[in-house]
Amino acid sequence: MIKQSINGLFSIIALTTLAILLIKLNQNINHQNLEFGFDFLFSQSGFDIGDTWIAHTHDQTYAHAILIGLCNTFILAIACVLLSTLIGIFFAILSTNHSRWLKLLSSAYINLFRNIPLLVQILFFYTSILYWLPPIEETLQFADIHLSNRGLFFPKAPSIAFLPLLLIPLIFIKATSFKNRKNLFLGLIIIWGVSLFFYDWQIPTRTRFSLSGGGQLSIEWFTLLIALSIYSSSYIAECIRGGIHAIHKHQTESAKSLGLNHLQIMIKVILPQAVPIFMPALLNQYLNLTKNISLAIAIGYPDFFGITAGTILNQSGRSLECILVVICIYGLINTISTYFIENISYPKWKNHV
Amino acid sequence: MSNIHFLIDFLLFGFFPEQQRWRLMIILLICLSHTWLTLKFARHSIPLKTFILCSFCLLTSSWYLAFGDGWLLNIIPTNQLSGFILNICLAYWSIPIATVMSVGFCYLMIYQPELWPTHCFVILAKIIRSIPLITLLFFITLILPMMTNIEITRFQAALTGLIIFLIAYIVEVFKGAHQAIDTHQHESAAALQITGIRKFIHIDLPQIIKNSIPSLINTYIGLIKDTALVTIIGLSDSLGNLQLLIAKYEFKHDFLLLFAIIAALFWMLCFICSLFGKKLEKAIVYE
Amino acid sequence: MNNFIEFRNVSAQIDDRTILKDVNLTIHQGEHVGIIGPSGSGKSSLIRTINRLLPIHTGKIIINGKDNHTKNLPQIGMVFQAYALFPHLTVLENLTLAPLLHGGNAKALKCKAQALLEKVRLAGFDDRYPNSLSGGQQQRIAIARALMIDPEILLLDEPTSALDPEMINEVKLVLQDIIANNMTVLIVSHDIAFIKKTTSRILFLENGQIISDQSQKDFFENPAHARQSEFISQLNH
Repeated sequence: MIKQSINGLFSIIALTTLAILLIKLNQNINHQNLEFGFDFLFSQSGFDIGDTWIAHTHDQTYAHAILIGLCNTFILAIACVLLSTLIGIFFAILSTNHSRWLKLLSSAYINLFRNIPLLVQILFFYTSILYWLPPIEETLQFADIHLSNRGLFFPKAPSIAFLPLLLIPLIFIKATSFKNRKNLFLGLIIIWGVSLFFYDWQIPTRTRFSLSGGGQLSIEWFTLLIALSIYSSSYIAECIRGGIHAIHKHQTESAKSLGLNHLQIMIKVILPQAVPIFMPALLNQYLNLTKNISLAIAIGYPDFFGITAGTILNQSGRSLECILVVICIYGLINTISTYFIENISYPKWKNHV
Repeated sequence: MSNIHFLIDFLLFGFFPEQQRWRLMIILLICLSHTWLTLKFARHSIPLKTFILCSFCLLTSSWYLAFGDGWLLNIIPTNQLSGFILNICLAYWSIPIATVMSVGFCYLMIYQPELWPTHCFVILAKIIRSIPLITLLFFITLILPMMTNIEITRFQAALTGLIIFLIAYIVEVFKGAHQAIDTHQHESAAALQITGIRKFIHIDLPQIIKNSIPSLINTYIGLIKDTALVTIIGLSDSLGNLQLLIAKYEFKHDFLLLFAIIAALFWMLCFICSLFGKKLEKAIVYE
Repeated sequence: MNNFIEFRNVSAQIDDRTILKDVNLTIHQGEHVGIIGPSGSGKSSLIRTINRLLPIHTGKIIINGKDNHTKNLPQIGMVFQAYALFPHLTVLENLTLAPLLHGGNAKALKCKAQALLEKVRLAGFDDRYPNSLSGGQQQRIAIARALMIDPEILLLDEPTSALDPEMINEVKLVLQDIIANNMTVLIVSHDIAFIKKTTSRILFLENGQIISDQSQKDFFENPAHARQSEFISQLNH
């Protein structure tokens, strides 16, 4: 009885408040000669985005721009995930080493970068890269690769050249033995490397004010890659270290008695058992990383958040719609990945835990 | 090198009027004494009622000292509270408020899961946990004024945003800690006929708090770092002031020093917080 | 002698698994009843249904003429196998918490708690925390806590099973002292000697059913059921 009346009271109050808020909101939107709706997403955006993997020009739609932003976010996320995992595993293994100094180094790294805000790190790397790298007129040059404070310019092969790399997962799935897999992998890499000589490479050439042709990675992209990877790697190192510590000491001792060395024990005995323990936490870190990419707005890299809640919002004045799009898409990403994190199974190792 | 003094001063206190700096010193003292008080309380040196009363007094007096009333103390506009002290104040004001509020929401989630307010809260918390903090800050600065026709200063927006964000995460921490409580506890409480809110206050809450301290402290540290994000909505916290300085030609070459100062300040604050967590964990050992 | 506790066709389930099947049972006031049986036979569940820790699906439990879901029942105290003291409260607070919450006088309760602590031979342990005590001491405090609400019915759920052998004795001695007065007591235990000493009537449970209900003397001298003597002989070896 009490519960029902609370429910009733709550729904009346909540609905009236919501109604008042929405009416006010609608009035305010109409005041700006706008009408609530997502139709504007399909009108011409009117701005170009410079730093993208797929080009966006001003005569394409807002929706296209948002997709481009998502694409930017995901590519950056994948790059950061790879790099930060590598660094994280390195420091996690370092912290299990017997040497006191290596342990100290690892814990210093983890504690230093974990306790400084990500935004401070991003701005720090951005400022210092801009400050230390030479201007475009006097690039650091190595063969045809140029490095300047406008970014990295490098020769580019047509994208068809990279198709053979898609065979790599196939090798890992199909090949039966370790030796077999290694040989196939090396063979593929060598054949692919030789084949690269037969393509037409676009080489960056100097024009009057800049470099043109070839591939380009912007300074913003690099900054985010470095800052996010370092920041996330400190978290990843910590959670992998926790997983390794959870494995029983007897495992190490028995492996040692079989005559394996430190690295072998780590790779063959400890890590396979630790993976199911730290995997959920690790995946959550990847999710956090993806959310943290939204800080790119501070240095003007056009990621999904920057394009939607920055450029489009300012250009079209549709603040409510833009924020809603952002919330929905982040919610979607979060829901899907949480579903995977919670339902993923580790058939190979699960029994050992 | 003579302007290093000026740089540190500007990063720490920003635009706060020079003659009123003593007020900020007292706020810092209040923060420290509040942590000390919490430890005392955890060690059972002071009773609960005194602790709640003292906490309330400390929080309100720090607020009063920061903004004044125009009668005893000069009124300070919210945009003049800047620099690293703004980061500290945001963290200090949001952490106790959010923790207390999440205790209430935690009660709702555990004991009244059928109520509609609880359902609403759970869904909202899930949404807030899935978006980055700046999205929430943007929402509060851009949409909320349109909805309510109330002018919201950036400072108020930042504080509300941080509190809401923190609640969404703390409730999750509390929920996990509640699941870690031994089932026998619930049985013996039922056998002694302790039920409902009495059970929550006397049996569950003390154990929830004890179980959740490590992750709670991690959440707090996360929040302290997140206070740096208020620069993006245009508040001049320490990072905002740093960007102002770098934009000037004369300090352009000092950026390494400036970043080092900011990093050191944040690092120290987080370090103090984790130290506090360790002390707290040691203090709440029931033996 | 009235029918103090009465089970009428009681069945209970946990997740589709039947743990009590159609139990009918009458217990008089002041009776001391021992409950034994193999593990998983529903002994603990039987006494948990009395104070509603375990909901029943069919049937009725009548206590002192009233359904056990109504108010103003006689007080029921319970002692658990795992002590289940509140770790965040001192010994004294553990004892006084429930009666205080039910509106007792703090000073009187403190005196009462100290008297009870003396009775369980733990005088002077008021300000200690449970985790700093041994298992036997914790269990004796749990007994004192159950007695704080002046129970007319005392449920003992394997009170000595989780203890080290040398602690079992101290708990048993304390329990024998307390059980001597005019309380209705139900004891679940594997300790035949303890049951023999403290009870007058013994129930034997198997697969959620009471398969034998005899006075103590009959139970050991002319068992009603073959399973029963088999079980007793197994326990003795």
